[in-house]
Amino acid sequence: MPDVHFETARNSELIFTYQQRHLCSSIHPTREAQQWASYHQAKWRECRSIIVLGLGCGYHVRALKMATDARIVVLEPSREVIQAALRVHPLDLSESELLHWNSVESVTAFSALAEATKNSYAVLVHEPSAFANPSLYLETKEFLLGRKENGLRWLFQNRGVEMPAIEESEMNLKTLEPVLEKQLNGELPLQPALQALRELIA
Amino acid sequence: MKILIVQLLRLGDILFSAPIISGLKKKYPHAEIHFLGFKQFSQVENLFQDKVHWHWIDRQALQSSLGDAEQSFFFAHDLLSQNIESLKSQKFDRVYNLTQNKFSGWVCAQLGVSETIGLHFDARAQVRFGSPWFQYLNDHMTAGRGEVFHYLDLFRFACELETEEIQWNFTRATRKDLLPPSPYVLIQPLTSDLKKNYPLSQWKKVIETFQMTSPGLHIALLAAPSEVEILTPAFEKFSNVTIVACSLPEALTLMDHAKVLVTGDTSIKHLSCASLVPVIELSLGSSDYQKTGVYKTASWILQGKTACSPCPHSGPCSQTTHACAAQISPEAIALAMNMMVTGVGSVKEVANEFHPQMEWLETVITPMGFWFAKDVRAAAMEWELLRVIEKSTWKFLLQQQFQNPWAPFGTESLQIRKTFAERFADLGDGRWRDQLDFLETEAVEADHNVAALLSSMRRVLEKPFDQDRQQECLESVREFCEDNEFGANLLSWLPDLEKTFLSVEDKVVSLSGLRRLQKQLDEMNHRTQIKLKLIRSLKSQVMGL
Repeated sequence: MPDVHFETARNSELIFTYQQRHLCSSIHPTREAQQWASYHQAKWRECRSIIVLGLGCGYHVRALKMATDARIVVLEPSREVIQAALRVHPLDLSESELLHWNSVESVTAFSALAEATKNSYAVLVHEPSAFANPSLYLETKEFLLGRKENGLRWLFQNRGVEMPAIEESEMNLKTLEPVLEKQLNGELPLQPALQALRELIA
Repeated sequence: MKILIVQLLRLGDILFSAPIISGLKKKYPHAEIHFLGFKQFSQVENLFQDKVHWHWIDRQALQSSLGDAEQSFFFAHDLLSQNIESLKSQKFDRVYNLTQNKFSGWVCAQLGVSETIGLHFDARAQVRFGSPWFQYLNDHMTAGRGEVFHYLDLFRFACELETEEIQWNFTRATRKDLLPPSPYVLIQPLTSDLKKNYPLSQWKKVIETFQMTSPGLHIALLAAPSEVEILTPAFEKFSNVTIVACSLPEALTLMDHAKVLVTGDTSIKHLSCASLVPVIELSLGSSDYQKTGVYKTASWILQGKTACSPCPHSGPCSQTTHACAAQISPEAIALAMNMMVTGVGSVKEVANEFHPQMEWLETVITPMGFWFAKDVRAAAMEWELLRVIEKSTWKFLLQQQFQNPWAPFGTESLQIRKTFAERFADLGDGRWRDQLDFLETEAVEADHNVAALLSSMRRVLEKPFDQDRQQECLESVREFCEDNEFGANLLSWLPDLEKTFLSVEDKVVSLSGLRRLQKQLDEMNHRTQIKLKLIRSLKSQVMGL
């Protein structure tokens, strides 16, 4: 792992640099990670799954695991970083779903992501990790959030329906209808959920 | 038994549900009571004394996520579905939806509960009410027709809690440093809605005037923490005035020791129902005192006289100036406070003085089970009796008492008589009889008119293609609309009826319009019958029969 160098933070916790950059605090990585998780809490608080882009030294993933029971899926473009983080947190990270990804298209191959995006989920970017390839992080985030047409199509497919033919500018609550109808499943009238949301923003 | 109460409006509306929760607990002592509200008001969990299982929908998260590119496209839907899934898993036996809006109706539609009282949608997306009271709220009150009931009365009747005592079981909290020097009066200057706010510049005048007439009294201004910054610059120079930012339980404790509370249409107003403090309510903007006025007896409501009030909830004030607030003089408020505190002075005289600009009303809770606000100037027994009989008539109609051979007309009329005897001590039997005779004559006439119209309708239904009968029926309806007290209700049906007859000319028999009209007439028929029974029962008591 020529790009990875281990060292000790000022509080004695094990950390590493990647391509000569720190991926977490060199003073108190645990405290910084807790602050990071807390800062993003509004996004993940009600979610059943959290998708984290960027593993870094793993402290922020550990902080999330301690703060919530939600399923956590981590995407990391560097295999070296994954290996190094597993050395730092062999127990905490072994239970997480760590996925190596290197292009937006490659995320569609992960069944863990397909599962995670079927229910409420948040996508969090670990900013220190994004320096190596910022566009990959940004595009993947938009894809996973359904804010790009190809991403939205993939999300629809995960939920078992084809996305209706729409102009991107028309993406709105109406776009959700086919999903809701599919989820009716003969018993749960989810169409009213859409109606309710419409009332809420009317 | 598991009962869910749905109240997806604001904080005041949640507080307003307290007597419903207590009433249901008393009526079903072994039932588990659950409550669904919006998460931003979850602080009430510490306020309610009754054991309640709370459920919250994060309205802000739902709304903001719909426009937030940082959230998943599906987030709002997923979150709402999660909420509903969790509620469904509770397997409620009954739902009471106290929120008369479509959002709550759609939420209730998904709970899979066999018995829902209040607005909801069925599997075919048709609106259902589950109670004649909620149907009445939708068809009559919202449309501005019929007798207006206070929402709490309507909810109590709809939940069949009219025989349960009204209880406001709220927790109190004391912080010794919070209590202002006694004796003191409380003012809640701000509300959550700009339209309902009395201007701060006017509040200053109220305080200045009040301090001149009642120099020994301290004034405490209640404020939410976010309001302190607004109030401080306006009132910091006043002596004997304190701004108090406190929680709801603390506010309740403050009320317990206050001489009077002056407030707009706020949650504090509803909270005060748990205290003995007399209230002066400023009914401004979209505040509709007839529906949500302070639910206690012997309090006052001041409302500016403007053609636009109460205005719709949505949208800003339609006037160039805040006309309804401008009509209420600071002097009137200060005088009201002074009279409430000292008990000295003639309210009637003061109200008369300010009458061209504002209404001055006093709240009354009757033994018949409903609240109303009466004009303090006019101690007109006739007007009040008419209102009370109307309300009792609607109550009996919506309780479907016309089908009950043992309907308690006697008890109701006895209560009416007793109430009036207490309120109007000098009321002689002669005045009673005159008024009841007048009301009876009117009711008999209405009864005849409705019967004639029904007969005309039946004649059309026998031969729908007979143009003479159609013409005769239309004429009868038109006359009825012009001359009768029920006419306004029927006027909206007239175009439907004309259309129905036109379609008959095309040999397409569409009787739905006729049937709807007939349903209306049947309802009027029942109402006049009930009213007549009440009046005659009252008469027999007055005459000592």
